[in-house]
Amino acid sequence: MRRKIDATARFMARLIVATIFLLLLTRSAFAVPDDQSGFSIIIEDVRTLSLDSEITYFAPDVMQILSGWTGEQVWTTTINANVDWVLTIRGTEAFWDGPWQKPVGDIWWEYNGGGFVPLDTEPAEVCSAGPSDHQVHQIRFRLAVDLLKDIPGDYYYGYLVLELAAP
Amino acid sequence: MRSGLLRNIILVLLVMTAGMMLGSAPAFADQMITAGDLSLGIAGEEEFLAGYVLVPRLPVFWESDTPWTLSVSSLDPDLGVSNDASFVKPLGDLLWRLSDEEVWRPMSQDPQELTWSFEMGAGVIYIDVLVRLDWLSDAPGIYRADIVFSMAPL
Repeated sequence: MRRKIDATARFMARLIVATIFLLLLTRSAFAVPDDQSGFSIIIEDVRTLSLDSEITYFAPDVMQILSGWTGEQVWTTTINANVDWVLTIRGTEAFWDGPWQKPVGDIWWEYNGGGFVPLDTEPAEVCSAGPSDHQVHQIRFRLAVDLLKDIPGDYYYGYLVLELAAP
Repeated sequence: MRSGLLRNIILVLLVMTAGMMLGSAPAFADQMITAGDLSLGIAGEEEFLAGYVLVPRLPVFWESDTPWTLSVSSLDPDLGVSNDASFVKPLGDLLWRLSDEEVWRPMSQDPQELTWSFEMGAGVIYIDVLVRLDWLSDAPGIYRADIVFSMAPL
């Protein structure tokens, strides 16, 4: 009886050892090889500005000249940014090219009903905001005309600079 | 004597049965997987206007002496935080596909099967990786995640 119990115990012990061995073996078989890759992307401050106009013409008629103002022209800007931004405007030249040195301040601009202000060669803030996705802004322009000074002829002004920058 | 032999036969049968229950894969499957870094560089104006950054045909090299399956997953729950800590870029903004497929799949922490094959030996598969960009949410920052490519016997 005792021998039989000993034999059964030995059998159980062998079975346990064999099972452990098998488990280790299959664990090796199922060990999953892997490779770790580092994903990374750097996102910078990005601000973009597009403008629908390149050259703007004014051709004031008599009534406009008598009133002291030309008609209005509108520029539409589209702004994209993933950070805060400020839009500024300035002129590149102090005077126009033409029959006389018409000053840059004869160009007046207006944004969002804020009233017309004269352009300067120093930047002036137009508007500002946070991250923007194709946000559209309109700026209106008109010219001051003076019957006494603005002798007939073609007048050209250099560039108006719209700049999108960090606040 | 006879009962000892019988016990040994039973033992062998039990071990074999257990082996069959635990799986049919051959023992000591020899497999290896190697993928390069998924550095997508710098996202600037061009990438934001496109709405994404795409890196095509990243090679993933494999070796296997048994039919295999390959999966991909992320160890991280997201792609990290912006420089000003205002935004956590979701893991799902990182998408992948096999280069010869059309459907993009978002990265996940759960392993997703890339592909499988009965082919044995060594080879390479190519994957495309894409990161979605959004003007309104993607604040400046360095976004990262640890991606794991895992190979297993079929």
